[in-house]
Amino acid sequence: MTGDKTTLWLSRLSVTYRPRTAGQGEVRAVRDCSLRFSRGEIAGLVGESGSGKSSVLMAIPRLLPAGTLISGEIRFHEKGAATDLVKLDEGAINAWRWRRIALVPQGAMNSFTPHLTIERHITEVLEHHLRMTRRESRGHAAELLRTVGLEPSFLKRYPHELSGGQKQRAALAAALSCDPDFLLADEPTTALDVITQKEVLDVIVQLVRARGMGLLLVTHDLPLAAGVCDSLFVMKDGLVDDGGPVREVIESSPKPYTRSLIRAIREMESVNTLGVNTLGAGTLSVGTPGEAYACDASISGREEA
Amino acid sequence: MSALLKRFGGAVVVLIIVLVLNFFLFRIMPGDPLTGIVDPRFSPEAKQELAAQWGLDRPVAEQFVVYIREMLSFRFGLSMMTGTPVWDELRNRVPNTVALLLPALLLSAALGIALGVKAALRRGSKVERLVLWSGAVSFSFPSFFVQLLLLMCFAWLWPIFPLSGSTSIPPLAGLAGVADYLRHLALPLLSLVILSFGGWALYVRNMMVKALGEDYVLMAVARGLPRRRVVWNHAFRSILPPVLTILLLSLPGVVSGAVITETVFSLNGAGRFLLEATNSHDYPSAGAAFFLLALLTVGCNLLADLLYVLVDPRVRRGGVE
Repeated sequence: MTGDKTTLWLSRLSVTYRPRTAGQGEVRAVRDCSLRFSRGEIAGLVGESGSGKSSVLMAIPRLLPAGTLISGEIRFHEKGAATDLVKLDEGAINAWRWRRIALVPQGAMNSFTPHLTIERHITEVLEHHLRMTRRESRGHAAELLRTVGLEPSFLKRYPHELSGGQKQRAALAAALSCDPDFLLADEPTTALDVITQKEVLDVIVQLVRARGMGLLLVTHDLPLAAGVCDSLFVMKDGLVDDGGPVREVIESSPKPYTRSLIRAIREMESVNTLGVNTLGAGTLSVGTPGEAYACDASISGREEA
Repeated sequence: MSALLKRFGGAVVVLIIVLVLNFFLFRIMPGDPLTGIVDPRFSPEAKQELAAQWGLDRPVAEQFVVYIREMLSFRFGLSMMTGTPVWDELRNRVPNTVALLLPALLLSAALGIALGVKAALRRGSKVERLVLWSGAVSFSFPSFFVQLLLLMCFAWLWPIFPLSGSTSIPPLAGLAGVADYLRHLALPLLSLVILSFGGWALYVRNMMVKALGEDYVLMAVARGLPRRRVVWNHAFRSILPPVLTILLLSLPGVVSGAVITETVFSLNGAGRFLLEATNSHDYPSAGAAFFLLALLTVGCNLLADLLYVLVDPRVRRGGVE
């Protein structure tokens, strides 16, 4: 399936958090995790809170806290050559960050520096990675905002002047700025309202498809992942418990954990169709993805409560 | 805007209160100019004459009006100690104080910020422990103790710096004079930097630890920006508003601290002037000195508010509309 496509290949990846103060125990958050995804592919990484999925995502551009142990390999395959990102030093990995692998942050994150305008966040990376002049980068930034559906007037705004959905769109524009090969998105739509969630996810998926990028979507929300992904990986207690093309995983996985997840969701879906859930499932559930969003609303709504 | 006007109004009220208090406090203090300045062997007639010359024989209400007029017009009148205009004394001494305090403030802030940032970046390292330890020591020593220690070490046991004064006597001319002046400034300046970098280091380290843990700093790292850029443009820049506020708010305290420093090193500065004027009941001089100090304090407060608005967009431009 990979062929000579540019591929991220995680092989027996383990992540162990080590506390700063001695005496407290280490936490092995990810154990021998192997998965791969290529350009042009959307991979979902699902699991409950604490299953290690965010640790996997943050390990790829090496954004885990200082002192965290990473073992195994994170290979970046392109044109027959492979680079192991785990072995790069801090200076070398910086050339890969954002330029090749960009991050769409969690919806609940303060992902923008409060004293910088949206424009400066984008021009800063363009000037640094693509050596653009300030003038070129400004034009490019306006263009990027348009592609994610924001008026160029948003460029002059400060982060606190944007709503949650606008912020995520701007974050996506920033992530696309250097035209990376891979996007890593960690719960990009949590903390947004249901309708905005759908809009933001649609923009992400549409742009990733149009540009032929690879996307790793980390979420606790199996229906949401099932609705947009090509392949699906299920994590449990730091292990990748299940994985494969999305249809196979959803319809015929032999794994008990995956099956129990799917069963739980089916039950909730039936609750939805009975009209007990008042979040507007009827109007949204046109196709499978629609139902997925409605279902997601009830799950995230419960988590916030 | 209306908030700023309110601050400005508050500042004016504070100044008025200070003016009124200054007048009465100096007169409530035990003693008076006639005993404080004048030779006790003066005849009662001569004392009477001086009192008349200084306006002390007038009713208090009239003295108060004259005092307020002199203060608000910034004329300040004649010093009772020297008989010369208070302004001449100030012109003579304020530059010495500025030459000491401004470099001291900037050097200690710069040193403290550099150390604080370094400590925050190397959490758990020896560097951090050293900064925290030296910062706490610097922060907690009484100033005169450190200053006397410095004098003992570098002006007496190993006399590479002068023991006292702002210049040699008689003063040297030209470039040699400048060098001589700097040599006299060195120990007081060093003492002030030693005494105040610690507060900065501890404070900046704490704020930077918090700032470096923010999501947006992690995102700046994720964007592959150079480390210097992440540290200074994203993390440090975000704590700049409180840093500037502290810088400005510490200024009046630093000026008050000059009273001790200038006394220990016998510098011819405004701090010692303030002390001498108060001790000798020189009403015009003390009034002027304290009024100017109050102006500086209130001015710094206002400037801090104004700067905060300028450097923090969240204050400058409200929330989501």
